[in-house]
Amino acid sequence: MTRLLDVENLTLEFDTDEGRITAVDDVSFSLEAGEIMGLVGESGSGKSVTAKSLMKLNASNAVYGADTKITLHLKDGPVDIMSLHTSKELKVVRGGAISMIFQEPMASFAPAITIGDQMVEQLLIHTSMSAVKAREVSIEMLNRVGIADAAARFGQYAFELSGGMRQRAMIAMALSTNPKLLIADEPTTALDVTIQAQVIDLMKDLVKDFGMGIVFITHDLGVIAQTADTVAVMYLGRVIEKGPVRQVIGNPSHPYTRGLIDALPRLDDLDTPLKPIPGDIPSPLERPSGCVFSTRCSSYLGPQCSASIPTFNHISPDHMVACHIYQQDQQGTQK
Amino acid sequence: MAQTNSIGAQSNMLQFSKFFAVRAMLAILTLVLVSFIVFSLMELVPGDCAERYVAFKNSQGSVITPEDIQIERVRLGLDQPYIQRWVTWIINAFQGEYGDSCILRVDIAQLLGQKFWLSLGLCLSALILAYVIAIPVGIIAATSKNAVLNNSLRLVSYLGLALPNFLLALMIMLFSTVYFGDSLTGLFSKEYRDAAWSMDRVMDFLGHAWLPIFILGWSATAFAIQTVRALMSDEIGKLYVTAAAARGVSGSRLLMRYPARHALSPIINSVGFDLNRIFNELPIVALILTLTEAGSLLIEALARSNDQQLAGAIIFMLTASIVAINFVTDIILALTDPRIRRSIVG
Amino acid sequence: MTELTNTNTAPSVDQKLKEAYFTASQGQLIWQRFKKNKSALIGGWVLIVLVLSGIFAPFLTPYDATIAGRDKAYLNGAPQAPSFCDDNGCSVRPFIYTYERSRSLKTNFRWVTEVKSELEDRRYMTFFSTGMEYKFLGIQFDRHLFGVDKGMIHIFGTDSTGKDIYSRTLTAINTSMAVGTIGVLIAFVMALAIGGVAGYYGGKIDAVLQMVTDTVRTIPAIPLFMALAAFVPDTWSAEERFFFISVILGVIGWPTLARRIRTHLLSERNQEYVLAAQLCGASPAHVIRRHLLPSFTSYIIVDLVISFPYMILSETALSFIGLGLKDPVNSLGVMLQNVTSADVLLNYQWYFIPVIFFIILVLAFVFVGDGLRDAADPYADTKS
Repeated sequence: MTRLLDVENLTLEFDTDEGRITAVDDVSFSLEAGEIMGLVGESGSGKSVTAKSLMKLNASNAVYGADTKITLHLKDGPVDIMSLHTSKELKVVRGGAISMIFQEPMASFAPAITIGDQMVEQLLIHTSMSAVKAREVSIEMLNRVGIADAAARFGQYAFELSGGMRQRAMIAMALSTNPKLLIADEPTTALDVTIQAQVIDLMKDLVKDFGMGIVFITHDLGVIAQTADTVAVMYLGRVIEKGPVRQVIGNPSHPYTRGLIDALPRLDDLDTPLKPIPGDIPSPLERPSGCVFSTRCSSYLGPQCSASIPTFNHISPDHMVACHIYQQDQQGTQK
Repeated sequence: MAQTNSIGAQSNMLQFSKFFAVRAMLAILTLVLVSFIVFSLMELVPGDCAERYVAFKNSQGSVITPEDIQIERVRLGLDQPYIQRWVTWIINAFQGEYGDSCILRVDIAQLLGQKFWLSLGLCLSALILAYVIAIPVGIIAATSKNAVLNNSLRLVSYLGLALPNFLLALMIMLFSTVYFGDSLTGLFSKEYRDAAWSMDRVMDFLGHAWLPIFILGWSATAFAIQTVRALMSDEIGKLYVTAAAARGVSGSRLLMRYPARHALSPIINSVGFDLNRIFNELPIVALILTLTEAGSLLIEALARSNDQQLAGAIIFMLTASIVAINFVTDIILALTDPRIRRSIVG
Repeated sequence: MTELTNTNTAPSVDQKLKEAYFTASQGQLIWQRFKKNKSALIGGWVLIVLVLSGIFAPFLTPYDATIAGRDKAYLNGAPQAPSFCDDNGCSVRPFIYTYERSRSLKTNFRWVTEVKSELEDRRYMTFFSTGMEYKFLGIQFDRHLFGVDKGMIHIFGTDSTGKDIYSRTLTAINTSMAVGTIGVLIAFVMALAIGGVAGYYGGKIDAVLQMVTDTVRTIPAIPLFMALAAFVPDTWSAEERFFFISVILGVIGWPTLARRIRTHLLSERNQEYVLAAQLCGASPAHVIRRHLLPSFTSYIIVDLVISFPYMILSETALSFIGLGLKDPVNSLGVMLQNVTSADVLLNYQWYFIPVIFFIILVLAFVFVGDGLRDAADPYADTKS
């Protein structure tokens, strides 16, 4: 497994009328080729912003931290994303080495341009193919993702396709340039469960065939359990737990992760009341000092939780958690 | 379900012709309705054409009796029932004949003649000018972060709204008279007014026409800038633009092909309405600039001489122009907006 | 789960603010957002000042705006600016000079104004002085904000019959506002009726009403109005003309408003919250009153405010051509009636001063309307 992506100390603030708002705070993770990493969190946790940072797709009032370093390891050598500034420079990554698919397939396609035109356009930007070849490749891609009658669909508009088909078309478009990294921003949230399953299977197949890495953003733990190899849980802009999927879900160590899993309804016990996480996610303008989860944490230890930001501790070689509970016990006894 | 190309194309044509025909029918229906309203309003006015003519004659010194009025009525066909008169009127109207003017006793179509087409030409030029300026400016305004530019554009569009064309015309008249001596009025210089069309006449016309076109286009431009800007802002914020950027589309291609292309439809839609607004301003601007050709005639007909026939004809023709433009823009929309196209063709 | 006191909770003051935010009424929310918009606030203040000066015009102006208040000795007179100091020294009270106008063979019969600038020729301004009587709310008053101890003062100059332009400007504002208000009200009532029926019932009724509304909308208003207004008999009194003009403006203005109401009703009545209310057993009247109407009240108010300037400008345009209001009723259009003659343009530029007031009035309306629109739409992104 080759290292594909290294994200180190990603910090992002937005410059707004109300002041500087921290959206992402010191996030670090890495991704291997062929690995599916899940990025989980509530709305407002900063997962979308994190993903968009990988190709600097955030709004123009986004300010990156000085220590932020994002490195994409390509065949020709590593690419330092932070050093790319203009759209021209970023073209290498945008739609080329990195592709992104979005939550709303209907809204992601331009309404008045055919699917085919948009796919061909992307190929013409990133490769030296002729228009005819681009058309061929696109239709083949549409076929590959399981769209019947691909040639006809090529000339159609987004509103003429069904929801599931649109999502597949978007995947086809994203993959036509053979990217090394695919960012999937809540790709299954807007779909019904059966289509969801199909799309997830499709993505797993494609990873096997193309050998790319996927960053899979969602708030749905169930989807992550089925799909991802590793998972990083985010809260209010920070990663609070990360590790292999089986371990994090089987042994949730951070109180927030535990809260997320406990909040899921249990099919085997329909009578127990649901257990939500108490409180509300704070507004980004009022970030709690110290540990960001301290205001809602039921395992609140005391002043040190509000005073200092916890660093990562290893529960197992690959499973890490950022919580003072695990820092307290230097001897390794868990609470 | 592959259809051979020729059959597919043929059925497309059929569907499209159906759409075309339906739209045309609707336009005609609208015109009929308009004629009904206009005709009724003219009827509601106290006194009819015969009386007016007779009163006019009276003021000239001749003495008229009630019998003369009645004779006049019969001659003009005013004793026929309402519906019959309306039907006759509208049939003639569609052929471009409006009968004789009440007071002037001259065939209206002849009277209006060139004047209507000149007015229409001025208004359309103003409209085109407005969009030629507003579309690029609006697009730039929507994408620029420059605060100075944004604020000054906002001010310009507000001024365009607050300073209506006739006030603007007044101000221009004021300045030109004070500083240059009166020279900006009229559409033609004396020599060319009734002359036949020639290259010289065209040049003379253009030399004079720029001012009314500018004044008429003024508030239309201000409005259009605001509209284009708002539409572009809306579109730029949509997900498909971000998605396109994520694919590597950039620069002017990203701007024009994505949000601009999609903001086009609502703009095309609003053209007819803009023309309506310009028509509203034409008479007064014309009066101020003493454009004896087009606008002034409207004012006299509508205001001074109480001439229903002429007034009715003019209003009908103005509205017919707007209905025609709306029809054209509908067709253009159907051709350029794939959603509409698909819903027609099925 | 251990219950530990969490000392990092937000202080209770913030909690109160949050609660206030969530329980605020629609009006309060709109006002909050509106307050943030500086240009709208300024526009609002300007508007209030202008409207009040229109309402209190008889008090604020020294003379009657009609023929009754004219200054026979100072026709087409230039504005007289008060000053505090001159060659003869300064005074606490502002004063103007005595002007003597004469014409004779010597001056080719052109009016010549001679300024007498000796100390005894000073005419001091008086404040809260008694002057011409006027009626306000049925009570007779005779106090005016300012006047002058001898003769008359014309800070904006006079017109060809000697009427004080300043007085006329303020009363013109009042008249235009009145015409605009009536016009907007009439348009609103008609739009509510037609748009309401079309939107609420939908279907065939809606289709027919739509056709009619669109047709009326296509007819250019001013030419139509010109055709109608020309037939108003001269025998009508000024008040009757006033009312007639307002009604016509309203009748011409309803289609746009009706369309808005209809579109809004059509989309809102299918919303889930309406269905929810109906399922709870709410009567149609209740649904309309408490659910549907508040959903678009703010939009309607915005539309009304924005249509105001159009009414005022239309009335101005028509009076200007002579088809609207006439003397003694006074409006901007009436005041501009004589402005296009070369004589005026060359010599009496102060006739244009009221134009500035009207531009400011219309701009104020536009700013306020825009500000209201931004404030009323909770989903609008206020990025300009």
